[in-house]
Amino acid sequence: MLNKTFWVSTIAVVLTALIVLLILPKPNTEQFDLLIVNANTYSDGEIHPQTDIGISNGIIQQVSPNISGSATTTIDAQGKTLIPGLTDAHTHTFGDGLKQALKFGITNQIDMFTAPSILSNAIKQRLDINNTQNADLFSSGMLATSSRGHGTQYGIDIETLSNPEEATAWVSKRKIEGSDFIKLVYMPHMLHSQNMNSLNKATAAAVIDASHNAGLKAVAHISSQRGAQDMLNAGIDGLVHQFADSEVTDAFLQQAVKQNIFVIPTLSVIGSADHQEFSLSLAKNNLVNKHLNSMQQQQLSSRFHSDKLPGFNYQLAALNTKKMHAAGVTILAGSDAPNPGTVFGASLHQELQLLVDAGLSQSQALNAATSLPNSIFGITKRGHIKTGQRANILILNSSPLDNIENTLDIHTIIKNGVIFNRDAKYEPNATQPAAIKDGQLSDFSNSLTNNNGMRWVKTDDAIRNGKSTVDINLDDNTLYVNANVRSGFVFPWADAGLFTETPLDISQYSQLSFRVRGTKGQYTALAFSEDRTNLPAMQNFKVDERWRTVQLNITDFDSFDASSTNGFALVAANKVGQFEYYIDDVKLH
Amino acid sequence: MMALKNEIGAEILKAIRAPEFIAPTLLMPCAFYALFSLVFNNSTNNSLYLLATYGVFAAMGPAIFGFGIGIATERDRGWLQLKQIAPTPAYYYIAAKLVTTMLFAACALMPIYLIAGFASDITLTQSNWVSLFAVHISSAIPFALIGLSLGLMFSTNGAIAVSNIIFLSLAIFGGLWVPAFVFSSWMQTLALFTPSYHLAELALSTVNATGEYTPITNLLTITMMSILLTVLAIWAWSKGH
Repeated sequence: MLNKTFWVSTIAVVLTALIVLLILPKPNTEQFDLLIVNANTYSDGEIHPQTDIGISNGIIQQVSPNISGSATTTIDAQGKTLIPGLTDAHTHTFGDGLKQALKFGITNQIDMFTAPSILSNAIKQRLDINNTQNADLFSSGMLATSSRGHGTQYGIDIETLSNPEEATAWVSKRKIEGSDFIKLVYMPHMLHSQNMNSLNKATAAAVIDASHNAGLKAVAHISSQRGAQDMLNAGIDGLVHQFADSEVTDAFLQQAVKQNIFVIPTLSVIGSADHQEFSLSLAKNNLVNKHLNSMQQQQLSSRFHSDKLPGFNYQLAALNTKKMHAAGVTILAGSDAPNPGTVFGASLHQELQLLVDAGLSQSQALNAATSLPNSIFGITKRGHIKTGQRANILILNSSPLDNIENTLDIHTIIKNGVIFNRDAKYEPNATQPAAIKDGQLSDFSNSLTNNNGMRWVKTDDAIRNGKSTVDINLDDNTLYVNANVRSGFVFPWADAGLFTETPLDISQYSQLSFRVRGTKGQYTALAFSEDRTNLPAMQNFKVDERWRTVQLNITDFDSFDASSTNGFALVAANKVGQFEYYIDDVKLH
Repeated sequence: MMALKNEIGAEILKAIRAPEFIAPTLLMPCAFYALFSLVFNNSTNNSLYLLATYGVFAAMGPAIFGFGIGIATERDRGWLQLKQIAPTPAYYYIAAKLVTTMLFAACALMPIYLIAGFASDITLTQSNWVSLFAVHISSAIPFALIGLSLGLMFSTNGAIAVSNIIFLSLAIFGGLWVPAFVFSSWMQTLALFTPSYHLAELALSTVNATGEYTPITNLLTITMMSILLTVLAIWAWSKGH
């Protein structure tokens, strides 16, 4: 009996103690890659003060008031505000755009028309958790437009539509190419020039139906309320611009709310077309300009046309956005970069400011660039700060809920769990560059080569299956270039370049100069260095019939490494047409 | 060994049959902890600190009262004398009491841990919980030695009075209720001579809260104190003969 009492009591107590010790709460003892502590965290319209965020393998593993795990890197975000990585819901991505966007904390771009050839790579990259140096791209790919319709003027091969019967086959091709949704251009009522054209109403409607049948959303570029009304009647999911030709009617508002469409007003680009000057103030903002290259600086100060375009009344665009928002139409933030007056990245921040000016609260504007676009476009694991999401996070020094301009007051950008170095040039190279012997690069007195082992060569987009051609010749101690730039590749080019086999260290020089004359227009000098995987660094210069000397600062070639130069090229910038030009006296100073 | 198990069984049975005696020592620490960590708590570290010190407090009750008053009573009734001349070794009697005390200490500790974990939101790693439990449950040993000496030296009534005084003094001066560092300097000096202070420091070190002294110093001090108390208990035992 006593023996039994002993066993029963002892086993009962020991077992109870074991169970209690096992069920007592344990901290998450995971070793995190990155731990952000004490942050005011904004996600989905709510701010959570004093939150810790544990990140491993590029994914947010834990969000809680107190994480006691340890981490390789810990950021004390006391007094700072965290927002999800931003989504720009209207861009046209090419070149370095995804990196330029990330420099401003845009971790996702929803592209509204780009070359279909880049889609498969974009999909591969956005699935890759190690894609930490570029924003992720989601895209419509090719757009649905008519022959001579808007979109055909950019030199990208487009399969145009002329009747409703073509819609189903056209959409299924896009789906195979990797389009995430379908964008169509419908602007029969307001064309920007006489020789332009547009999809007709029946074809546009057929494209929308075909998209829906294929399980894709359909969005429309419109330029007038009449166009928007037609699209609404045809069952469009969203409009990718605000119309700015007339004040939105109550009937339109009611129908838009009833059909639950969304609108991406792109006030930035409408403002630029209407000669509003806010992109200039963006370029002057110290939080912005140090992260822009010279091309982008120029981009922000450039305009569409010398005359204001009809149908682009900024006040009406802002008013319509305000009325739509008030009525309950979902508004998303999109910049339409890199159109004139806009740049990748920075312009989305400006768009947020313009949306707040148009009546959205700071919180609603943030949602328009975080949670909303991702849920509407079916983009998963992005746009929120919560467990299981991609660790795309912006740490801001000051709260955007106090002032939306504070989204530019960036402390740290985190892409897929890795701190993005906004100021980094790129990784150091493997090939040992040789020292340059002679700053006198070419006077074309008798050859296309120089003392440094460099040679003038012709380059064109034929290597990318483009259709452009170019000829270069020595002509009277100058270099004669005859380039015929034709549509075919997304960035058609044909030009002359001076290249070296072994990279050269030219860092003792500060300036590149040359003399040039030729077909009038804006040209671009490209600088290539060893480690560039994307587009080369660029600076623009002007050319006309008279000889002129062009002097370019080497340091203005953004993210160009002068210590391992591969060469330079002088090109007629990204325009289709015939160009003849002469180059002479190419020197480094 | 069967004799030892039977002794333990008898001790447990005795306690269960007189719950009015053992229940307060089991429930009071838990009630105190709930009061101070949940009701009066105003800073986040506080509940973790209190968990470490109240655990020592919880082990102290059954040890001092169980031994002190229990042995004094049994000695008064002549039961101890009977035990001393019985064929079972006398240390079985002490060992059985110690095992029972530790079982009751475990019963007193569990509700405190549950309140700490699920009401005060304290999270500790598995090894921290286990080592904290090990420190708390072992705290019963030096306190049992104190109780043993008291029981052997005083009559029942004397033991009740002295045990209470010793119990409260060790709780207060050892910093089990209020941290010792808020004491005046003479009280802090006094704290150094209590096993409860060093046991509390040891418990705090297992939950990664820094104490005044290194855990090794605490452990050595406790060991020294335990040896001295054992000597005292043996002296009291032989004097009682």
